[in-house]
Amino acid sequence: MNTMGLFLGCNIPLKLPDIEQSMRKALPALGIDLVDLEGASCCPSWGTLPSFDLPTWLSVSARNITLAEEKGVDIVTGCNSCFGILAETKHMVEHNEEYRKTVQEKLALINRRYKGTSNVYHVLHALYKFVGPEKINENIKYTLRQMTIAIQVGCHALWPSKIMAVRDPNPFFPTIMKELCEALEADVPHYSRIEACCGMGGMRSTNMEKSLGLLKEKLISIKEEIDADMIVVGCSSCYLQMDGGQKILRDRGEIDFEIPVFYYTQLLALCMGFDPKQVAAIQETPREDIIARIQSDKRLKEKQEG
Amino acid sequence: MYEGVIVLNEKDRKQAIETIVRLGGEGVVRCIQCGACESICPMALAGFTLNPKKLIRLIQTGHLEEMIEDSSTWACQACNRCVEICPRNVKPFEVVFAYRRYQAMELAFSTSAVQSQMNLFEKGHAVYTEAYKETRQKVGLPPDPPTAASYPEAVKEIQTLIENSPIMELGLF
Amino acid sequence: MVQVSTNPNIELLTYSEVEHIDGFVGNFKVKVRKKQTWVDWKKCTGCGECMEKCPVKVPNEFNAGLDHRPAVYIQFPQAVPKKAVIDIDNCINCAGRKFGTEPKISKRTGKPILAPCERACPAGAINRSLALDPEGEVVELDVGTIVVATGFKVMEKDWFKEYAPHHPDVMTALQFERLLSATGPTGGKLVRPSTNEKPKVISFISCVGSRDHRYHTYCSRVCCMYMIKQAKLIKDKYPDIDIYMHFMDVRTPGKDFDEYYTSAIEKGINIVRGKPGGIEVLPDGRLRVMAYDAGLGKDVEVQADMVILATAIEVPDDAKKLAQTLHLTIDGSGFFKELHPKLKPVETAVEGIYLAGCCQGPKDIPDTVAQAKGAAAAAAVPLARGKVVIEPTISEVDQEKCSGCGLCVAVCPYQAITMELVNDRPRAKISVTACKGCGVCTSTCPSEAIILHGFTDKQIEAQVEALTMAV
Repeated sequence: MNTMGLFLGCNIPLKLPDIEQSMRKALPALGIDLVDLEGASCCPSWGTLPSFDLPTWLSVSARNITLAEEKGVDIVTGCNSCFGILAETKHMVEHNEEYRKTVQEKLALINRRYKGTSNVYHVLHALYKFVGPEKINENIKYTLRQMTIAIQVGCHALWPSKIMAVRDPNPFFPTIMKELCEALEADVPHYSRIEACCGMGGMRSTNMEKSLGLLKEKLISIKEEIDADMIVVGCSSCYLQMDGGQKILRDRGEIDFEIPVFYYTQLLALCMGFDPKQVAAIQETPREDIIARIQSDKRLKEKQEG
Repeated sequence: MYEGVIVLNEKDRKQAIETIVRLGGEGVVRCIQCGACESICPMALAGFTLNPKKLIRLIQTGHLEEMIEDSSTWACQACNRCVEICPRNVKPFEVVFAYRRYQAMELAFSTSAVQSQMNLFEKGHAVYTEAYKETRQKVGLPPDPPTAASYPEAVKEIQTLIENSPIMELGLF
Repeated sequence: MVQVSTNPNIELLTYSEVEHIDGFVGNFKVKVRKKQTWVDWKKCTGCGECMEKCPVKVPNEFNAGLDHRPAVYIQFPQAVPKKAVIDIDNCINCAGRKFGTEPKISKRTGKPILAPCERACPAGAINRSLALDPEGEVVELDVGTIVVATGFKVMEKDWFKEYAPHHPDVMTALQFERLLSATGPTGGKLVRPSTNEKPKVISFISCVGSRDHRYHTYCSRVCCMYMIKQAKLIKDKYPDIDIYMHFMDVRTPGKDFDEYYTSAIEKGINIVRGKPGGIEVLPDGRLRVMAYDAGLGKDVEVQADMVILATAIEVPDDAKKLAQTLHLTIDGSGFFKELHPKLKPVETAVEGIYLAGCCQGPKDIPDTVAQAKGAAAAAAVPLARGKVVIEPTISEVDQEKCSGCGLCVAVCPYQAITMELVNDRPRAKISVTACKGCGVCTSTCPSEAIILHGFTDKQIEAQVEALTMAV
């Protein structure tokens, strides 16, 4: 049994707690025990401290890492922004003497010290490395056979690959998330914009129109090229964009189709049989139908195998 | 002075580069303007006026003030695709962020950036909504998340870190 | 190559490796391993019948992996000598015919059951009953001077993850060269590997792996010209194919080369200045090149059927090992180091060993030939003269003071020191030709038995005195 510190960030615990639930249910059942990192703050997100002062960013971020170091665990996080920020911080502090010194000085003000003993994992990477597609497949109750998934890994889980503990062999044509979805027995075809940014993040707050422009390009690539039954994301920000942003485009009449969106651990939890009212309850694009299809009798895995 | 001409001078160039290097964008001196970063940058693809390549060239030619009101730098997602493919180890995203820090210190940032910053200072979270307790209970979780939102000591620690930084000069909190 | 093989003054040893050298200029002793060919070259006529019958398929190195070759093969039709070899690691020993075993006798015919290659060879050059030595044969050569001209290899496309290397229609320029060749995998027909159909749009990308801190920071020098050559050849033969060439810079210096470039533009070949950041794969299998046009200052896109990557040229994988064998230095870029970058481009730090061609640095054919002629002349001079001029500022052992500890032998970077017996005692001896006067042995010797001529304590003290006199 692996024990990891669950770093929640902001969006997941405050806006999308069903994603938090899906992680709390699915991971321990697959052998990753989760402990809380009490007092963890915003990572801090790219648009905040990193855009104002580099040493302060690194200190607040390093503080979050020390919470895991105190408990002797590695960090696992579901938000790509958090993953990028924490992994970047770890890399910068450990490879640059000047930054390391500054961070230790600032942390000393709050009686903390950065040790560098905790690794930072994205939940997809942790599932891939510590559980693996085979074990996931053995533990699902419902199969997604003959369903098509369009994957959206999310930029920060792909680049910069150098700083990541686990990395895709080719981040421009990602396979880790593909294999994790194939472990649920779905088809995961390639679409041309597979590695493209969804537009959420700083871009959306700066210019909603341009942000939705990137989203539209992605959605159209998914719809026209592979006509997926659902979109599965590896990032909570991508979730907000591909789900909520999709609704905005629909309301404006810019797209006329609907593709339900899941965060990976939500879909995993549903396939394992957990309650959708807990693990997949918050959405702008309706998911009731597809959830009912997934958790239906005829999709029981044992029946199919017989 | 011709209307359509920019006069290059070394003094401006040195000052612009020194500023950006000091703020964390030391790769700016290495860029040879190949264009690879711009060809895949979400900012460029979405049609913003600035992107890493353009910003770097502006800095390399001594511009620092001229684009300070351009909010497109705040559209950088920090996706790092530019870092992944840059042949000169410029780390273009770090240059964009260094310029953002320059804009921030001159108070040239968007209101949403301010709001997130203030949330972070007051609540420990950049994204904050009052409705979280209800939403959490709806999905079967305890109403108080184990994050800084529920631990005032944690917020105090964050505030201490921020208070001991140049950010205080902005008078946001 | 044929001229070399038929010259009465040249002994050509192919399929061989240099394993060891001893000695010094004018008196090198070189051990060469002639690898086991498994085919009797005295009998082989190069007819190629064995190749037709061999069932094995291995990626063909000569066609850069675009097609396959059998285990018994002649490397390419113009090979010198045109003889077959057996790739013993991939040979499957048909009919159990491992080398050195007797053949089974057929119950039906009473005749021995031979492997297809054995049966096919009309000259009897393949006899698998012979217990041939897999280690081949080592010969020792006495040579006066050595010229190293081991050439280059190109980087494989797999390194470049952002350029969809898994896609069959993305290939290196070398692979493309083979594709266009009349003796290549398609007999010279320009087709997309994925569909076997003629492409309509081709993109060339330069500086792939060159001028790149992730791989090689140097410019590979030859790519701009050969890309334009390939583009012009295609445009001449198929004017209806659209060609886009993505350059960071266009480097076509020297006589006639810039004119070659500008004539390409006039032919309608599109020059786009900007390094593409990535390639996406479209649903119909075509390639979306995400590029940039510096002139427009905007992102541009090319939807191509094929993408040709001009990958960096580098030294072959065993260059480091060869350098160690010959006591040569390899520089930071991986190339063999010349003695002086401007004034001694063909000499090395080892007297008597010279460099020519791409092993010393990327260059094209005219430059290689010029450098080769320079290396040949430099290598011939000591042989013609019968003597060499050496620097006087070299080290010398006072054998009366030498204790025979051997420390100097270990530290000498030029292998210039050996131990010889003097009155039954080992004493160090420094080769006057090999010593370069670096002084490491001088400072290492615990008995202070070595002096570096020109830099004795007395001489250095005198210099210091002269310098400090004015103070």
